[in-house]
Amino acid sequence: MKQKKVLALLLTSAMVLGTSMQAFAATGASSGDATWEGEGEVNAVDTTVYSVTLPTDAVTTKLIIDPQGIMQMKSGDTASADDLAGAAGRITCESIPMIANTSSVPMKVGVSMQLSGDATDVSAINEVEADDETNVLLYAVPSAVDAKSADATKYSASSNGFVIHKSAPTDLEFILDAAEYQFEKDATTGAVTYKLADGSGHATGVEFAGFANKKADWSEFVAPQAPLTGGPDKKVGMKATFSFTSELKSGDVADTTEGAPYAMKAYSGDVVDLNAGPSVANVTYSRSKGGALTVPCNLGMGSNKATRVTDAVVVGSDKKLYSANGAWNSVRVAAVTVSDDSFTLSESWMKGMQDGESQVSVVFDGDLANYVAMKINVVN
Amino acid sequence: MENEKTQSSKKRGGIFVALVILLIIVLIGIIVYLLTRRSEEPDSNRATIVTEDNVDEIMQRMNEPVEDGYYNCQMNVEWNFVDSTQPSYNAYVANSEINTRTVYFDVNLEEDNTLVYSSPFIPVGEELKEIKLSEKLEAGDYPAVVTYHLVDDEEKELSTVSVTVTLHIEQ
Repeated sequence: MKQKKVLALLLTSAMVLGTSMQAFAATGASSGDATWEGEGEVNAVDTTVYSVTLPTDAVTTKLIIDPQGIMQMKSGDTASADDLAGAAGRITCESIPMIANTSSVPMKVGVSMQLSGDATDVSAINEVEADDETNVLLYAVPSAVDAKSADATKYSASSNGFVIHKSAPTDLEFILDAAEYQFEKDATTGAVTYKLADGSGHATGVEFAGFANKKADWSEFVAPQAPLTGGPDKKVGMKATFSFTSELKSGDVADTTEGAPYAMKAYSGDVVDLNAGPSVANVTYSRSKGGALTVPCNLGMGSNKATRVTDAVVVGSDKKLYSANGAWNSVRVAAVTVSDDSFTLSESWMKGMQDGESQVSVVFDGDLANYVAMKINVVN
Repeated sequence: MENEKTQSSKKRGGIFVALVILLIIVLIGIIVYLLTRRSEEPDSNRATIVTEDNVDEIMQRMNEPVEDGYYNCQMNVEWNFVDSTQPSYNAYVANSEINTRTVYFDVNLEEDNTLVYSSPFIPVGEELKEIKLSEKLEAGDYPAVVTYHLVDDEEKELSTVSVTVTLHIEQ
């Protein structure tokens, strides 16, 4: 650890702006002071300053490789053989890294990702088990919706997985609109301060997922058990580096709705089409009984867009199946409404929920045949 | 005389045996160390392979919030210098009050990873200006990576996040 001195005196003397002013991004300010409404001089910083919340490596590097599907076996009391077979060889991450813009200017935020270590990277699902080598297909799945803040429960998976390689970085760029700031003027001093408006801000998330060859021998990648310390002989790693600059949204965007406050720039590298399988969002919501619950979700685009719910299944906290293709289930289905980028479980639905944690699956129409699986923890 | 020689010879033989035993002990120690040692260097950038031994720990971790998982960057990303011996006249980095940890940051050139600046600790709510490079650079534009290091009260590193900037050296 480097020994460093805190330049408290220097830093304190340099604090010319109030606390709330720090969160202000001066749009294109290039020099000197700025005066607002002819009164209350503000000593703005002399360049564009951004305010962006980024995930650290405590989030971005926590990949989990489960060659045998042990996690599914552990968590799925009722998992079928097909479920277990599908779970083997999955790569997941401990949490979804989120990126939030709380600047007062629209921003282009980039994330550059590169795989490292001793596994072999491949570009497509059918290459993962083409031999017995330790192959991995790792991809990043951006959020399909504006998450508003760095809250991973607001993330909803989009339909594309952008493949991450070892040889060169995969660079994804997002356009996040400006946050709203409230301007407040002190009646006595005339000083103007700026405060982030409650609930303002725009965000995306990038979930890391993929597949590892379940036919390969991964023993050399396993961390040793005590009393041995340190790491395994071989490893799989990933590094993420971020960048940002102010940029108005252009027409060069993909996978978004026109006019939305969030967009992703077009990308030409290797892409995995996640439409081949159902889109699953494993999110836990805690709610008190009653009151509708709106869940942000990618419901497809154009002719593929889901417009209604075709089925809804609830496994209650007592592990009993409470609805499946029956009259009661029809009532449940009708109680779910679909909008452009979310679906809502009605108040009557929520009142019907058992106390405790239930597993809910909502199935939509459309060519994507998507469903969303989530846990709802009803707390009274 | 003969007796003294015999005693001296016995003494040398004893020393030789002791040295051999000591050598064997050292060799055994080295072999045990080599057989059991693993990389002592902490390496957080590593995927975890799920086994029956660690699955419970992993699943518990997934249900807990990630400590020090986020950092609010308040900074500009185009840093201008009249020349590389003078402090930047516009570089600005703040540790926002949204954050909870003291940070310091390093600046490395993207091209060859040369360290060109290492900051002092910046407590929450403080800011840093007048950044002066530690390496001489010719006039030009240099893409660089700022790596923030979040530290605890004992200055122990907790997590990092990297952001790209461009250094503009005018002369």
